[in-house]
Amino acid sequence: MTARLLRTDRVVTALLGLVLVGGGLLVLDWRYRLVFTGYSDALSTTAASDVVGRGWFTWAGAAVGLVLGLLALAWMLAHARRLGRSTLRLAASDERGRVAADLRAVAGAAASRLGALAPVTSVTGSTRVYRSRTVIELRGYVDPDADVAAITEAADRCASEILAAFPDDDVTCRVLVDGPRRRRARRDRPVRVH
Amino acid sequence: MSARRRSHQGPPRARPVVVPVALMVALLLVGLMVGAFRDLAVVQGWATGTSWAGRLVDALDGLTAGPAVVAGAVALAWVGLVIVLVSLAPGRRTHLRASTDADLWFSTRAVAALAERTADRVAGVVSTDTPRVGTRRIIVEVVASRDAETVAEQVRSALDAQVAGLTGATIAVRTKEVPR
Repeated sequence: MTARLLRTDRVVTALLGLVLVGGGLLVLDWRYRLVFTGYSDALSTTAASDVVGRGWFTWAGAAVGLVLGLLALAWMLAHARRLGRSTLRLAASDERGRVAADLRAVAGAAASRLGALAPVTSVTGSTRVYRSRTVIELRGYVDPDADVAAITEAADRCASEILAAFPDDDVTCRVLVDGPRRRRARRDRPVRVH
Repeated sequence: MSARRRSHQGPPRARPVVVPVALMVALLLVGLMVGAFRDLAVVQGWATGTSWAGRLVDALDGLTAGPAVVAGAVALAWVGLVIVLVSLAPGRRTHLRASTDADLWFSTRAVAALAERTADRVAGVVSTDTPRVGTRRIIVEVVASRDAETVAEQVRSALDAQVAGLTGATIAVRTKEVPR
């Protein structure tokens, strides 16, 4: 998820929260008259009822609803979008041609390399963009019997190799090691004794 | 060659809790669209029923600030406050940085598993467990078959040699002796 999308999530959610807090406080002020005093004892919705009863209101409501609903759908779909760039234009590109690297293939190869070098299982590779820098993220599960030095050396080696592969481009490598995979509890077969 | 070029990104974090709340808000807006179209269909005579907006406005007419309304307002303000706090909360840190040149991070569960297995290999240890696994402190509980203090010392030195310096988390050892 991009930083921009996260910012949208935060701003819209905070606005909704503030509206709810404001509504709640307004009703409390209506009851106790702490700030304003000009409230009527009973709520009258005659004016609102007149507006809702007009023919144009439902059309306007549907139009506003459509816009908000479509924006909300686009907002929801943005959360499902795959992140990271798939190719990187290399510094070797010039007016004679464009040189690009398939980053997903590089991430996959780096993941296989880490899996072969380190006692880490099910290593996956993905690409991310962080402040316009490309990051190749490798993620796997630790083997609890692992020698820690083997993992750190392998991570250092993978990072060095990526650095060597993209000497003129800002590509970095991050390695995330998770706890061992939880194995499913094996259900023992009942033994029938005759 | 050492991997000196760091990514300059922050620590790995879990998806902030605001994301599911935001998705619920988006669903609410989609529901609003459906409701608005239903009302349009009802008012235009394309469907039977009564307008929800009209019913809502009629239901609010004559409302007074009674105890039920006050309770509802307090609940509304409380929920709003929680939503504001949720919108500001950062995602939980999921991994601890390893003390190496590479951009290497271990989850607390990974460090705990390595520590537990390291302790398990020490002579005199019957079983191990990690009752507390946090970003600052990981406790390894060891059941010893003989003198608990000596075994604890051996476990500590094994952890110091293997895992203790791996991340910033402190690894503490608790020992129990097998009851005789």
